Amino acid sequence: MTEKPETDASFMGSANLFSSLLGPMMNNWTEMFTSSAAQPAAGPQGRMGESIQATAKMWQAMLGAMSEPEALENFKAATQITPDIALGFAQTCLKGFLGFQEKLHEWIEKRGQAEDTFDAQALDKEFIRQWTAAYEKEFSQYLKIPQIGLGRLYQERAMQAADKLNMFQGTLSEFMHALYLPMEKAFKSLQEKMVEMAEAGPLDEKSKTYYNLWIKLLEGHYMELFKQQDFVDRLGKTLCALEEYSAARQAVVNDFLKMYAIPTHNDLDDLYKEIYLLKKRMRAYEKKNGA
Amino acid sequence: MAQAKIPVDLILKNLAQEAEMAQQRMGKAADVLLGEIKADIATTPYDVVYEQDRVKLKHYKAVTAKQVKTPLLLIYALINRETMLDLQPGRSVVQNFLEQGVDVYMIDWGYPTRKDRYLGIDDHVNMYINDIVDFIRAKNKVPKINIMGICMGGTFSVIFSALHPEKVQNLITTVTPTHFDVDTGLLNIWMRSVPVDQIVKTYGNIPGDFLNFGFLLLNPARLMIDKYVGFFENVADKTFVENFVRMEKWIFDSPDIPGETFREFIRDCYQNNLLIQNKMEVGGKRVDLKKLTMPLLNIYGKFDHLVPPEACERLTGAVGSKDTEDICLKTGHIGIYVSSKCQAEFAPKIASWLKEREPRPAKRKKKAAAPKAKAKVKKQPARKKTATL
Repeated sequence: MTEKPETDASFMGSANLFSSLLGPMMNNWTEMFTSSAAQPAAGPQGRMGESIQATAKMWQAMLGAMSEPEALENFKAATQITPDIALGFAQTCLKGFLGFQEKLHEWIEKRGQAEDTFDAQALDKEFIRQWTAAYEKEFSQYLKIPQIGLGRLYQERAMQAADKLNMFQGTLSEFMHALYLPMEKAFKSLQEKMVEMAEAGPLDEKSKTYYNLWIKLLEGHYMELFKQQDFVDRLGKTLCALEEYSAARQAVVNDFLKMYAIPTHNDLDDLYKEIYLLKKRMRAYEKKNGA
Repeated sequence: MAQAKIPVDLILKNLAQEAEMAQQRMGKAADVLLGEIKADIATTPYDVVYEQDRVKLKHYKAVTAKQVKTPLLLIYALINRETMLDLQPGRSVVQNFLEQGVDVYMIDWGYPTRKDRYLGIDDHVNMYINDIVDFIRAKNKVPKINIMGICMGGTFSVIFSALHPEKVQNLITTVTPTHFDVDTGLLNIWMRSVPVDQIVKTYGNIPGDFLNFGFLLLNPARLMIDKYVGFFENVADKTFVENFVRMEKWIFDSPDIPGETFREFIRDCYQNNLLIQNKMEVGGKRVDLKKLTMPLLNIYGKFDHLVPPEACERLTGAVGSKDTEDICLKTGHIGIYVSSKCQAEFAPKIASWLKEREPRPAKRKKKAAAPKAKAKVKKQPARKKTATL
């Protein structure tokens, strides 16, 4: 940066002027608080006056120092470096962002290449599975970063609950999608049946006939789905994900309960177990002694 | 090929007529729904004669002279409530038994809370059922009683009868699963993949709503859609609405299941099928079905989607009793108890079966020395019957 002597002189002049005005101004403020006849000199007003005086003295000293030529030079040097630092920081951030974007594009490209043939029917199912798989591989790791500090355990539990929730939502979506498929198939089958019926003769005018046919088809498709091993596995996976999420959520809730000294389920379970075992021993004892 | 002619205009015309009918129906429905609906269940009078923790024993008041002297204990499942056996006047298994002169007791398992989560099958069979059986025996001064088990309650009854055969006169099992390694029932297929330890660890007791949802999922088309379509079609019929509401009251009244019992039942029965193989252990003792030597009547439903016939029919061949009978009714899981046709056959059949097997009173020894002709003691021949009604 080129030097501007006029700017420097103007700045120094302003600083000196402000510094000279600050002293009387602060004295006026102090007098206003301390000289009122209705109020005693000692007490909060006295303390406030002292506090204002101390602040004013500090400003005076600071401005006085600023008006020194060496201090002004140092301040100028700092302001000159600041834009360079900010620019370097912005460049680093932009590089990082562009790198992340590049990785994202590569990842999307990989997913697209994985599908050899475009299968519209499998697309729905695969989309949800791909999302769940992508979450597990790419995003879940950020929620598993070890935490540091005094509250690290609580942070870890909260992040684990968030992770398990995302996993559960993914598996639940897969499961709900599977449950929806028989509906789709039943409508399609109904349309085909109606075409067959129309070809065979005049169609029944009653809508109830078509409803009964549809419900029977739907029942059949559900029975077919429910016996498939894929569905059974998905059911098991969904239940596992639900339980893991429930346990993780409960851990977070337990932390809150402990803050308020409220017994948690785990505390009560330990108590119940002890009561159960005690009762059992009592019964055995009573039986032995013919009570 | 000529395009099929779909009479869209006729279908739309019919839809319009049906919409008008539906509107009229809704008008009448408002009168029904906003009027008095008598949908009480379990109205047959009883006394609570025994209590232990959450478990109660109901003793029903006799309506006629006793025809079957030996008391009958009804043991329902832990899933849903025993009130299904007394759903409404005219459709009450309990009422039918009382009219047949049977002395009826029934276990009310209550509503398990978190403190019950550690109770297992051993506690239910060797503690609650055993104590209740001892109570009834002492109260009636009889050495043995009759037991009828329903569904999971039937499984418990079988286990109890095998472990304590000296206390059971006759055993009746209805829609009772004893052989679990079958592929005809969805429950049997699904339970193999259920992470039971994780579920119990997470929930403690298995929530009733969780089970309800599972049962609805077995046939969502009929149980979640068609059932309610039928309701709206008949909503103007007060009797229909009352019966429907009663059934809804019962079906969604689901207590939680104690976690340990659920774990043991799924693991030992559904996943490992130990019971029918005589490998199941309860309270440290092996359940040997060969020790089940009392007469056994085994009733199940041909169209039962929860407990298919294949899960029930092997029991009579596995027990040690020589007097066994299978009856397969053309109905579903609860149709046996609530369908009017089955109601007419079910209780009278059981009552007559029990009457035939009533213990004969022991004859007193006379002091007179006169020699007597030997009394003819009729030996009950071994019988094994199978019938489909």
